[in-house]
Amino acid sequence: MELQRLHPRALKFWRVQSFIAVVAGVLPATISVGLLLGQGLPVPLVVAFVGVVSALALWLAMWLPKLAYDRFGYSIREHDFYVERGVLLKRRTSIPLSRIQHVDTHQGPLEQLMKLSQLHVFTASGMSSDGCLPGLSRQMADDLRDQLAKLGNDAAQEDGV
Amino acid sequence: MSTETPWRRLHSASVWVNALPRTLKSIAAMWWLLIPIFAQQNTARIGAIEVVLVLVVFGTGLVSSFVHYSTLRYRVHEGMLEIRYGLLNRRSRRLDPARIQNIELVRNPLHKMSGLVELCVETAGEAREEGLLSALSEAEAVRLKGAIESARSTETEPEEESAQEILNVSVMELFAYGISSSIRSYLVTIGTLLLMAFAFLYDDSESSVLAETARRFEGELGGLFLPAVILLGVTLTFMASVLRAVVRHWNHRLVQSPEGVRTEEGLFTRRNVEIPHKKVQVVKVREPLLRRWMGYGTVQIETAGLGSVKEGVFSSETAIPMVARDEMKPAMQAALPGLDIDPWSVRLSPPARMALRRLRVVGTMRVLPAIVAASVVFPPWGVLSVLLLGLVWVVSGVEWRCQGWLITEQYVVVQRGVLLRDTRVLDREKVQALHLIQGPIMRVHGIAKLHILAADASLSLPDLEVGEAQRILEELSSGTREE
Repeated sequence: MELQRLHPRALKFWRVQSFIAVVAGVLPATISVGLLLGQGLPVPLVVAFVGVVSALALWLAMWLPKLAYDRFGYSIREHDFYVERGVLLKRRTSIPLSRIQHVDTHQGPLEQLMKLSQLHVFTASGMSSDGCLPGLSRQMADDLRDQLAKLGNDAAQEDGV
Repeated sequence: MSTETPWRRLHSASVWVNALPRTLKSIAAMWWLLIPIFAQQNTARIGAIEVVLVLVVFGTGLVSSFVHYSTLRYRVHEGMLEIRYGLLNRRSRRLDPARIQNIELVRNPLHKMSGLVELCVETAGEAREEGLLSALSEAEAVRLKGAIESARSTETEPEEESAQEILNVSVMELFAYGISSSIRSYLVTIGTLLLMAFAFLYDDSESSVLAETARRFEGELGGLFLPAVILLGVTLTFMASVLRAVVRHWNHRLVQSPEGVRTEEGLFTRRNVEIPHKKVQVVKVREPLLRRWMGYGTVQIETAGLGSVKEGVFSSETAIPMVARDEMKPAMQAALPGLDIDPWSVRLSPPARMALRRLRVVGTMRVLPAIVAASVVFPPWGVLSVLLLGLVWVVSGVEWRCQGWLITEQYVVVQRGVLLRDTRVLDREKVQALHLIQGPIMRVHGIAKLHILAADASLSLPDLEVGEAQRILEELSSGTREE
């Protein structure tokens, strides 16, 4: 089965997101831990600790999105909407087309800046979306939304759901 | 051109039937307004403000009950149930009968005294419409229920002609249900009583009646004091559980009709829950150890009642508290008429062999820190904690053996659990989405977990080989309407 990939800008988007998380969360935490635990230790040792941890976090922030991007794929098949994703926890989701209740597109502030869109597919199984595609171009997201909504409608009518 | 259906209103006695519950609700919400009055040392100084506060707290219920009666109108018009109500905020609701999951007739003691009944309807995607059609005459409630049902399906025959009682829960069975309801509540009560007893015995400054009693009994009973406290905890929990079971499930009846299943129960408030067959999502049978030894289980019928209530998702179900082993299949068939297998006698497929290894690896990882800690902190005897590994292996093996699954042309059946055996049956037509999940250890073992989601219900197959899990995902996804 050939899976569709997300828009290449999605990789850049995830990297920016990870970078912001590292700068806003990991770096201050590492510096604080270094200052607290490093009292009495030579300053170069503390600086080296902070430097190594920060470099590792930054490297992960660049590398993990690449892995996530490579392992993310989706496909609209004859009967269902199929999504595969996950680095550590691999998840494959199948939503029968006849079960699609509605399809939403969503854009956060950063996504608006990068001209990207998220697609959420909802069924009757709960309040949250069952299938989510981040990192689509606006055009792709709109086309997919319309296509899935139509296919879902047709399939539901065929099934009499 | 359709003729205009006249609007109907609640029974006039609804004002006083609703007044007490609404007053209790307003007291629960505004009790803090009464604090200044109770805090007054000199009651002679109570003035106009205090009187107004009392009127506000106690009068709100009566006023809201009157407003509710005066403004609420309902009708079944052009196949839709329409309800409008409200004085300042006028609200109007149109409910599609096809979306109604349950119709429930509720009689609390005030309803019984006045010969009225409350009709609760519950829809998928909406919160429960409780308290709206709160006081109708019995004849009107039956008429309205019939009108909704005929709007839902014009081809159904009158239910009373072919309704069939499947089972009736006796008082003795309710006693047994109360005894076996929850081991956790026994433990919590006993633990609380023990803590209180020790606190009273070791704190001489405490001079309450309870503390004095505890000290006196400890003096008289000596070594028997501890068993006596435990016995008291068991007795209290037993009495509370039995009382709760009797009040809630008194004279429980399960009735099957061509359109669905109906349960009737309750001592003071009589509940009458009606679930059409096509609204049933999952049927669960829960068999806690004690109940299983008695030869019984509890059957739960889940429907899709989703709404923005409290935690976001509102689960709706009805339960038959005590079902004997040989009555379980008929009870399940009442909700799922097409069910032709008995999950307790049919041979279920086991999980993957590697799932046992995963259970053992995960169990070992969980107890390993405790073994290391015990060995370091309590040498040399702490090393004996390594025996826990043997326990993990045995428990994992039993847990693995207790898991089973089966997929027929119409249903998915899953069974698991050692202490609490849980059996679930899902109609394949109700499948909404499927998730196949593999963590790092699962990938090493080549297994995966398949979650099957229905509307407001889900079940997970035991860990299967990844190829098998993928095949089932494809089969369920493409064949949700297989005939």
